[in-house]
Amino acid sequence: MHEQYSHHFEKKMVSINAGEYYVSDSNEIISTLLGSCIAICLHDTEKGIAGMNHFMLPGRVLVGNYKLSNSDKYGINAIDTLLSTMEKRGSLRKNITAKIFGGGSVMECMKDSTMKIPFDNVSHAFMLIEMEDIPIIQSDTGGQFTRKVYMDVKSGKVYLKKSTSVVDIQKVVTAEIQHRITLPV
Amino acid sequence: MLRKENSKYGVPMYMLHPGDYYVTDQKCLMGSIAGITAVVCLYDPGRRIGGMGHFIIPGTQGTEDILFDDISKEGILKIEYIMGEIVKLGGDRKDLKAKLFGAGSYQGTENNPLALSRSNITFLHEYFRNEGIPVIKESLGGRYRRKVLFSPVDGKVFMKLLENNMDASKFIELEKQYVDQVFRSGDTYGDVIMF
Repeated sequence: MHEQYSHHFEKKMVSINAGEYYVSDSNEIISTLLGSCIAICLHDTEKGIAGMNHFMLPGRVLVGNYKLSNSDKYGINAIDTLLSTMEKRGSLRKNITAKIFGGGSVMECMKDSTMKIPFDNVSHAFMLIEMEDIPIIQSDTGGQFTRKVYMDVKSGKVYLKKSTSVVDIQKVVTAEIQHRITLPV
Repeated sequence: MLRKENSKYGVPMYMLHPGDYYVTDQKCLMGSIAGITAVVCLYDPGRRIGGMGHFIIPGTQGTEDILFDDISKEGILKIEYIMGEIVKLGGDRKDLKAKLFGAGSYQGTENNPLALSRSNITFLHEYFRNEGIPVIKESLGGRYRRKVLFSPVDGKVFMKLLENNMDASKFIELEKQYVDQVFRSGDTYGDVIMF
């Protein structure tokens, strides 16, 4: 996580990396760069509190598999921590709305059916938010893009930039691989 | 099936996909969202064992008894699985109690959701009457999605009728896939071939 001043938005901007989350109620921008990861943007419309997380699952989670796999815990806990942090700041559950972004198949190996990690990431994010009964008002998932997400804390607006350029994809893929290595499966 | 290690309820939580079942004697919560599928919670209150299953009967019931009906075997099989797991953990079939949820005629799941929902409700009622298992609580039918949280050791159930995310429901999408799969697998049994 690092802070900088954005000349484009003329505000302070906080960028988060994979596995991190950030909750704020001051006038600033939260941003992140997504590949196959998911960013869930929660916004409290009454109090102007917003939070964003950035998570990924380290492997496939099979539907209908009776044995439990270890791969699912990161995403689940990421959403729980974000929600509870927002509630600690004073936002009510009924005012929170959600936006979901990410899940692009950026790596070559993820396009075949045995490595559909982005697909699992997306379906998990949707199911967990649905289980908490938070309305999903906007989502943009899938495809073969990298996404830059900028979220304005006060208004809850999200600015999204999709890109297919090789440089961006390379940057995301290296960051994701590094993040995945650090996860203890 | 998903596992939540530290949920806000203070115990681990298991989230069941459509078609899954899970039985345990540990202190935990099992949760799922049911649209057109049925969620059956079976528990043995004396021995503190419980299980939950999430399934559907693929098709409409005939006027015959469910034991002679071909399509109800999917449901009977799933409930038998749960009972078997409970017996394995030391429970007794005679002391079982049931709570039933789901089987709503949720739009967007099927061509004829009302008939499917009705036949599922008929099946559940008839099955538990035949088996002699008392149904403590039930909430079936209606045009709802239901979120069900079940605590297996004491048999408590927390239920909520969901209103948000009517269009973008991932559970309904998974349910659709599951229903399709069950409908298709029904054809593959076929007749006995002699050779």
